[in-house]
Amino acid sequence: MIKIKRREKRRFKDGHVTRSGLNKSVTYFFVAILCAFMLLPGVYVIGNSLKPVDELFKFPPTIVPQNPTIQNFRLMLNLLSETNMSFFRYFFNTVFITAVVAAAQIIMASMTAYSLSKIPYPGSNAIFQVIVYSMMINSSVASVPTFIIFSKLGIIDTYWGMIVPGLVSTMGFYLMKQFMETNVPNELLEAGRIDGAAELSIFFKIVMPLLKPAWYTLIILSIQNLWGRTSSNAYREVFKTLPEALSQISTGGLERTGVAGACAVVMMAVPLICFIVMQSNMLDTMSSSGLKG
Amino acid sequence: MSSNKFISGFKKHRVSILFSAPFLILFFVFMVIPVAAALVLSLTQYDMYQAPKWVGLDNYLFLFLKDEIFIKCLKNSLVFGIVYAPASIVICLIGAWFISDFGPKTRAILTFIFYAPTLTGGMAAIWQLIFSGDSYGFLNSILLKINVISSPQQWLTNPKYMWTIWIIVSLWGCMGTGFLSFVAAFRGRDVSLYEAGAMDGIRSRLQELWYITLPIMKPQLMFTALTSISAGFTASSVMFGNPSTNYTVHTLVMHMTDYSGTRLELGVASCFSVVMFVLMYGSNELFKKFLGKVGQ
Repeated sequence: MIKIKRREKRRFKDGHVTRSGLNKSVTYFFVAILCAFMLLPGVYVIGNSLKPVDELFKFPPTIVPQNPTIQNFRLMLNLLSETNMSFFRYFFNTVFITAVVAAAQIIMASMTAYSLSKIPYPGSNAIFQVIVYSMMINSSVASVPTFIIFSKLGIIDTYWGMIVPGLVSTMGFYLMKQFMETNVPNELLEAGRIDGAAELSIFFKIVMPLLKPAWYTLIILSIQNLWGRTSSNAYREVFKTLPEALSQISTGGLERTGVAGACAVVMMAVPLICFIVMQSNMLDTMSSSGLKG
Repeated sequence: MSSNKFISGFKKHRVSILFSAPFLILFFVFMVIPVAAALVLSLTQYDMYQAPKWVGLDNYLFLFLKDEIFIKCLKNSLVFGIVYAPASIVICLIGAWFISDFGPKTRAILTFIFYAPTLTGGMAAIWQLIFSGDSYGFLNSILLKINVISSPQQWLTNPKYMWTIWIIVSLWGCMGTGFLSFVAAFRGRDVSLYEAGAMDGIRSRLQELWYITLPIMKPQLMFTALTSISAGFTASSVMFGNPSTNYTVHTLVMHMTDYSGTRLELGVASCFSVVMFVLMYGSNELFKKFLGKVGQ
């Protein structure tokens, strides 16, 4: 009995061993190494983007630039303005596609989630199971038939071709449904129904506001998806996005190393900033993401 | 009679069905049909210009018996999936476990740092600079400076290094939504279970992990497995060039693109979809079996 008590004390009071039973110094050590590994490419590329040309090819290489310059960013803007399309078209495409995808996804995913989990109909559970199974199907698996369908529908090289694949985000739907199950109490809906509200107004007035954290999560996922993508169903320049334009101007051989760095920094910055702003919402959403086996 | 029942059933659930219709229609057209179509197309010869011609299992026989590169790709993707999926699940779990010990502010920063590689998915290209084969390459110049190597190494084209680098770079970007799911689960978990566990005679941390932490995390484990298994089997390795030296790290997805894009043999390319689907489905079922044993 005494032994157990002493053990407990060591575990939880003196701070040597933390609550989850890990030794603190071991934790710090591994976390430090992991952080360094995770940050290395990012820090390296930010350094590159600020280096003047002569410093980029210095031996041994430096991580922190000695004479930081914004020359590379200026050059990047010049190159962007020299492309056959104005910078603003790329910018518009990017914002337009992200906005449409995110908005449509939020509305469709939450309506479907609401119908499947709060007003189920015969077969709705089976449908949900099929969707969960489909989450393991990576888009590359069905890429050939998908391409055929796209070309038969005539939406390759249109905005639709860029938007539609983002709309069928099973991950977004899944997160939305799980979040709804734990965060939208049935009593609230019942109260609304007793008051005689129509389903549509219950959905928009009661359910949607409660789903805000999940909205932000879907927004982050679609931004992440779009900014990480450097090729797509668009072959004509007018439909290309900023990430695609940036990846084009950054593949220009050695002399573009600095510009490539600048482009990479811009491409990293957008999703990272969005995540920083919305992180707590995303974690709230993820706390109900578990999947029963 | 039965059609009457169907109609009255539809009327009764009209609102609900209409709510889910837009998403389900898109899901059907762009998910269910493509997968089913891949299955059918894999049994045909099809080039998009002429109607598909039924060839039975010929495509599969060709791939498995005649195409040596396919066998190599199958082996590569299989080995990669077997290494990557479990490793990434473990890394996500351990990363979240480590983070759970810190205060809220530090935890937020660490979560951000660990998740950043996934957020910036397109950034894997930076590794190309780091492993660049000339002496200006980051790794080469550092190793040259401290005299570990005497001449620049071709990290990305020498088959000796490619597999190691491929796995390291892939695992760098493996902490995605699964990781966040673990972070959230650790945040909301019941700490008193650990005190109770200590009373019940749990001695080592390993026991604690097996008997307390993992059983709590089962739903998150399943969720992470779903995504990392599919990522593992559909990985590609374009940073080593396409194709890489001796096809050392050529994968199923990359070889599929050879057939669909370059040779326009869509029937053969569809076989790849079926093979990958079987791999993913099988591994998920295996993982479910494993999860059943956790904590016992």
